[in-house]
Amino acid sequence: MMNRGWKGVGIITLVILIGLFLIPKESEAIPAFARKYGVSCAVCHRPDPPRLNTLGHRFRKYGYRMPEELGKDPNYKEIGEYIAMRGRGRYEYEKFAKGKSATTSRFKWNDATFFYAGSMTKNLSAFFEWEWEDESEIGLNGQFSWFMGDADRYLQLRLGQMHTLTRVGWAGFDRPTGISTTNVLSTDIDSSAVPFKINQDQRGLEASIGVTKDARIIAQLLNGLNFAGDGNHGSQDDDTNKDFLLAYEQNLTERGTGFTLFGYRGVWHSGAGADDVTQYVFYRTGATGSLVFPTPFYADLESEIQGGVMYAHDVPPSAASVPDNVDGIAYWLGAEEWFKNNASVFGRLDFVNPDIGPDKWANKYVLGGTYHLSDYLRLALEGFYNAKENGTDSAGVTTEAMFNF
Amino acid sequence: MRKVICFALVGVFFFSASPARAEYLRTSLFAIELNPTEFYEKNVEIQAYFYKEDDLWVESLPESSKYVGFFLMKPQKDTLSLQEEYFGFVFAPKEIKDQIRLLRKGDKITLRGRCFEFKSVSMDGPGIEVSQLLSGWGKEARTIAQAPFPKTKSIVSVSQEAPSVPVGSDASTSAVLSPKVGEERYQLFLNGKAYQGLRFGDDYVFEGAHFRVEKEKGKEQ
Repeated sequence: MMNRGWKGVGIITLVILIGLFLIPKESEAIPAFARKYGVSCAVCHRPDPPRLNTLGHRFRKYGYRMPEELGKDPNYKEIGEYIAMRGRGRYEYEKFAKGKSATTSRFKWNDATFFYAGSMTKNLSAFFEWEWEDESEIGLNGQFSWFMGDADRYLQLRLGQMHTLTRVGWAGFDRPTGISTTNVLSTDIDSSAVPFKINQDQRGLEASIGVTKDARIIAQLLNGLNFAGDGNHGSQDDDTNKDFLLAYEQNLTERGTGFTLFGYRGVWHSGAGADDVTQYVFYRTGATGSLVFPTPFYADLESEIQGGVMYAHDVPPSAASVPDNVDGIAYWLGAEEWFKNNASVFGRLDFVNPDIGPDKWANKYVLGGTYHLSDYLRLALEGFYNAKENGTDSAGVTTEAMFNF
Repeated sequence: MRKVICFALVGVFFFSASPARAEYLRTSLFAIELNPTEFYEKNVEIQAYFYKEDDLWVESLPESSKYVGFFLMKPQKDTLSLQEEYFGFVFAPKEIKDQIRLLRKGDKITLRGRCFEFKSVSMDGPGIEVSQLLSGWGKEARTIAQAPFPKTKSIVSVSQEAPSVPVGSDASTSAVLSPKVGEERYQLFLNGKAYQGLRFGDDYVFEGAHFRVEKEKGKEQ
């Protein structure tokens, strides 16, 4: 069975690789904003959508405005400049260590997502995202933001149910080049009962202060997670406590080198009841960075080294029969090569140790590549190996076709 | 070819005119974007689809008040296309904005003009300063607007180089459409589209039909 499964994976991989290198490529673009600004997608995305380059990140920071548009009312043309659709189809294969778990081999429609985004007035912007996910739920993000100032010094207020720092931040907090987000940002990195992941969408208010065009301070006041550990579904908020996020983001070069420092303090209740039985206080602190530079001996190409580290500290309820404070640590380190024809290859190591004392580390090794075939289609391939000290090892492949139009 | 023209006193005619004498390097937007430096400060001729008028990038020009901007969609090589490509750095003298506004999304147009290095706060890239705008492609192309000459100043003030590959035009030109103050205008309905602000006595090409409307009946050329 295993041989047959790997044979299928090999065939799919071969087909994608042939596609990557044989299909002619001349151009690229993004849907709504390409239509609005008359530019190709490479203007804002590097190496491939959805990951942003420096200009793309500025555009997002300015509330979906080019620097030229700041302080001016948008010149509305048509609805097609505000709406876009995305669909992501995948094939996933994962084989676990012998006898431990059933092999996975499946086609998956990851999501179908409808976007409405852009600047409405010279100050007001909106971003709406309706994402139908594999779990048959509608993942909703909706936010309004108010921008004041100019490109070098500004204040932007953002209110809504939104991406907090992951997927809208920088130097590791933007979307991944490949398919998977690093485990550091997408998993619970300690072993306490708190089901918190730094990349969860939440409801709240953000003040973003641009101190230069390349540096900003981000402060967020958030509902936090409900009893079920969710930040954007179900009850609006199960307690009156609020979570806080503070971050500093600095871009250093036009190529995209930069870093982000962040701290998060949250309160989570495991259910209704007295605080001394149900209330957890948790902290996340860390730093991420990205170094983008011309590839040695190939000045036309670019390379990136990206990494980040996050430390977790959870304080359980004082009267609960749970272990003392739980500390976890996680980091990732990756290297990428960006080619001229909208393609990239990358490798990444994710390390998560959810309990520093007993040492329950888990590593994930990722190798992959992406290719932006056309305006509408990006192909990606990832191979991975999970090595767990206290769990089941596994290896697999994920391929993805992402449609944008 | 059936054309429905809902206006009285209309004379439709097909005309021919003398070939254009200007020399342009016939190329494509793809080629210009791929190797822009090869085209800077050269006269180019490109074919594209009209997309929309937009002045977003005009304000980055040194003399922005003298220009209007519009976007193009690139022609696709393949019948089955997975992409729509846009090109936004196209600038034309304001004198021909009325003619530009007669164009509709998807109209085939041919541009002749100078390729230059466009620079804005956001980005750099190849831009085109239009000197002649034609409706249609290839042999069917007809001039619908031409920038006034001699121009006083280019967008980027550099000396004009002779084109490296001169190509004779296979298009025909019509009379240059110059705006006249207080002139009476008319409206044309063609295949369900409304074309407004047209002038009596001027030549137009819409959807492959070449015509002129005279105030007197039956005055065809």
